[in-house]
Amino acid sequence: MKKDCLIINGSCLTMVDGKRYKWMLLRGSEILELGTDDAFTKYLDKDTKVIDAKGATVLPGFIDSHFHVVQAALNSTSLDLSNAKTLQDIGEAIADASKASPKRPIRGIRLDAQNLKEGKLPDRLLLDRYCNDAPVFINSVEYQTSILNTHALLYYKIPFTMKGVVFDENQMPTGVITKHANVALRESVLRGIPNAQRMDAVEPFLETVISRGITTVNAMEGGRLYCDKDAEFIHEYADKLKIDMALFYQTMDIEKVKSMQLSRIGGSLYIDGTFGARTAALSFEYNDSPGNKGGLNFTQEEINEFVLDCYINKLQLALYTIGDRAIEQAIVAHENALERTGTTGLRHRLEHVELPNKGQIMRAKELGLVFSMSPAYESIWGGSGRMYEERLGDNYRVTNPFREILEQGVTICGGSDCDVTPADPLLGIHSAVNHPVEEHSVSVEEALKMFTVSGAQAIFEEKRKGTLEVGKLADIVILDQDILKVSKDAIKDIQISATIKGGQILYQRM
Amino acid sequence: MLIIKTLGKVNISHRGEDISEKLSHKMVALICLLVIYNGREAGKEKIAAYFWPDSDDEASKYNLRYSLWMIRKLIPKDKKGESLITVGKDSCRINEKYDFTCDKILLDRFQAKKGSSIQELEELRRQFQGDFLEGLYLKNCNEFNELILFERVVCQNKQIQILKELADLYEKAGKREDELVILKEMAMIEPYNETFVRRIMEALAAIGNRPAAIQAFKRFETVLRRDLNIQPEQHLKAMHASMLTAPCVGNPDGTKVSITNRKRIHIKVRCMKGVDYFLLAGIVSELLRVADKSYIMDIEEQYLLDLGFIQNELLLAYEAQSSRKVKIPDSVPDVRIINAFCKFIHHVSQVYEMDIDVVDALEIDVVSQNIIKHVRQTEPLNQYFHFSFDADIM
Repeated sequence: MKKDCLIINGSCLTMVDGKRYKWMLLRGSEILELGTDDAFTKYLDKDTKVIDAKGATVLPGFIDSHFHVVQAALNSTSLDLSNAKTLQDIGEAIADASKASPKRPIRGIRLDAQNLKEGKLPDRLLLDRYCNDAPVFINSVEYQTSILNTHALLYYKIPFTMKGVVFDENQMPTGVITKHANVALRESVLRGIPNAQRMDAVEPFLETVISRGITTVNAMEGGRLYCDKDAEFIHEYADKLKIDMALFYQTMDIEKVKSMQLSRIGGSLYIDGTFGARTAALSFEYNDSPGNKGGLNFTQEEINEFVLDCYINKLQLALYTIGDRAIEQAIVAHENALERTGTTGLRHRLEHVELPNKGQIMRAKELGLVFSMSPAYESIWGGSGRMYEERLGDNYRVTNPFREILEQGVTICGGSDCDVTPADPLLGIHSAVNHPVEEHSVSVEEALKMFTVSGAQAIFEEKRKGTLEVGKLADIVILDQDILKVSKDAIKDIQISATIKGGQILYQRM
Repeated sequence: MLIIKTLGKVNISHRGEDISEKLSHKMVALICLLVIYNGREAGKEKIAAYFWPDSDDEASKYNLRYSLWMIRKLIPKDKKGESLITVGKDSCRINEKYDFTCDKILLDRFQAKKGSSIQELEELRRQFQGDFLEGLYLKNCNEFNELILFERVVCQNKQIQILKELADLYEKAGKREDELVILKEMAMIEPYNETFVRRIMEALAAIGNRPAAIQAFKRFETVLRRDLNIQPEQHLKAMHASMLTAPCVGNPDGTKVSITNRKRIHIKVRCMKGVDYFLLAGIVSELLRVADKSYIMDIEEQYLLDLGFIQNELLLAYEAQSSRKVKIPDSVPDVRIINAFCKFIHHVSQVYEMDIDVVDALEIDVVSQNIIKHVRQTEPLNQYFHFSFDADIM
């Protein structure tokens, strides 16, 4: 029989009406008792495992509401080229990787041509100079372009007749592959990864995730730029993983989702693009791209039809919306579907929602929409002189307006969009509390809610998760400090002392 | 006989025995190189540069001599006393008199638009088992690897050319089913190619399988949306739209042909005692689920509205499709609902044949029972709607 687990000397934030306790007893997979006095002493015996929280905060296990599990895991085993500033940097990184694991295929990720001094992508002949005894497959930061060395061109199935293969003046492939051919190539490469390899990547990757206090993730898998096999993998193997996976299949194939008996659909179902690539749909021109307002990927009629189908089929829907025009299109589609069906209570979600205006927030409230947001974006891109300002000009002041959204009564669940930002809820909480535009910042308690109770509500799991209450699942995270006492600009430096999932200690460094 | 297969994983078999494994990668590559030279002389220095670029002159000469000796040993002279490779002082070449076949040589003989026959093109089509020298890569033999890469591009282009010519010939010969097989193969190679999908839709329509043509469009639309986030070109959408509205499909000579290959679908519906139209509403609902929505809703709006009175899902789907709100009547006389249902299933029966399992048949409502009786007695509806009941009620 498993020992009871007693957490003492804690500042246990229940996330229910501000209630706090000093200790809690876990039995089996559930919370058995919480207390504020010394009554816990009766449980101190040899059959009880005691964890001394040393005055630090104890919270419900973090729920990361937007997480690309399989691709993040695979990327964690890939070569990160985001810091490459020259073609030589790329070459040397590849040569080092090749030396470290001779003859193993090398997958480079996050290459940004804009960062390269030469202002152009490498070609296969350059890559060959640094590695010619293993396939090298490099993805651009947006996954829209792949660059392969000669070995990889011969190793992978390349559709040379398709649009997007770049040829030189001698009609030889340069190794740069874009457009249709890139999509086909990525699909073929990612499909070719056996599930055992996925598992080999996911299992150790989840150890890192657990060490950041996460006990549940919303796994956004499959679809364009990803791979449907990822979604199938999570569907099949979720119960073999250490933490819970709420699968969002990023497809528009309602029948397929129903046949898998999923109650939700979507995730990164792209209504628009990104600010970085200047493809997010705005109602104004990009500051650094005059005349460009980004673009919508659907007509209003198309999205209306799809959203309506989701309502009819009673599927919770998550749509990816970044710019205000995309948010508008999604809200109009929801208004249309609600009017036609009268169906409520499905907790439909908008993912990211970086640039909502006040009217949209109010209408979202009326529709019962949940905003699934990534506060850490503000740490990376927000504030003066950063990417948001480059792209949006003065409108960087209105991105991710958490305060206003909460005041209007819209639920925000927090996610990392891992691996766009690290799998680190404390960074997300820090970012929401320390929003570069102060009027949009929220309190620590409000930020904590995004990654606990609101995260649970956003996947209909609030009866089991998201709060510390008797009978709830013992998904718990213990911090190394009292988060309500540390200076707010030091939240991101707080460490995790322990992560407990269903009563089992998965991580402990105390 | 010696058979050299270079398209797909390389395979060399002599008198039925696979000898690929007995040859080193470079020996296999040497044979393939001479195949690419196609009877022309290949200079020994050039060959050495391909396969032993880092070796000195003597070593590379020795390596080549050894390789040629091993090949001769494993691939002996044929019955006429001919050797596979003719070796001269400074060069060597494939001996065309040797008793052998090679897919690459067959392919090299193909010239686009030179009037090849269906038989010849089918023979070439059969050769494609994969990419040229699939899986073969020789470390540090850059020049040879470049050659493979070049030939892969050439072979893939030829494959598409051959398939295109074959599809054209089948179309010309009126063999649309055969044409379809080829077109589908082309669409597998290039799944985002609109021309291929257009031709598939045309061929399907021509053989009277309009539902399949409509589905081909839908599938393509889904793939484009999913993979590229784009829509089909306007002309393809227009073609799809015209297929939805035309009751029959046309022959090139302008005559109409009826749809003979109806798609067969199977549904299960339940009964509920005392609720009028319950079974009929279930049939409409199931049809919306399994059949092509755009097609089945392509009847006059008034019929849809009348029928929508008993099945709200039909109205919702129609509104979603037309992107406008329709006014739902407060009440509809029974006779209009029945008439609308008959029009609806008549329309459906033009492209679908249905097997309908009726569950809880003893609970069937009276109106539905009478309508089904009517359908079963009406020609030609009764040919396309097959009801089976879990109790004897008819």
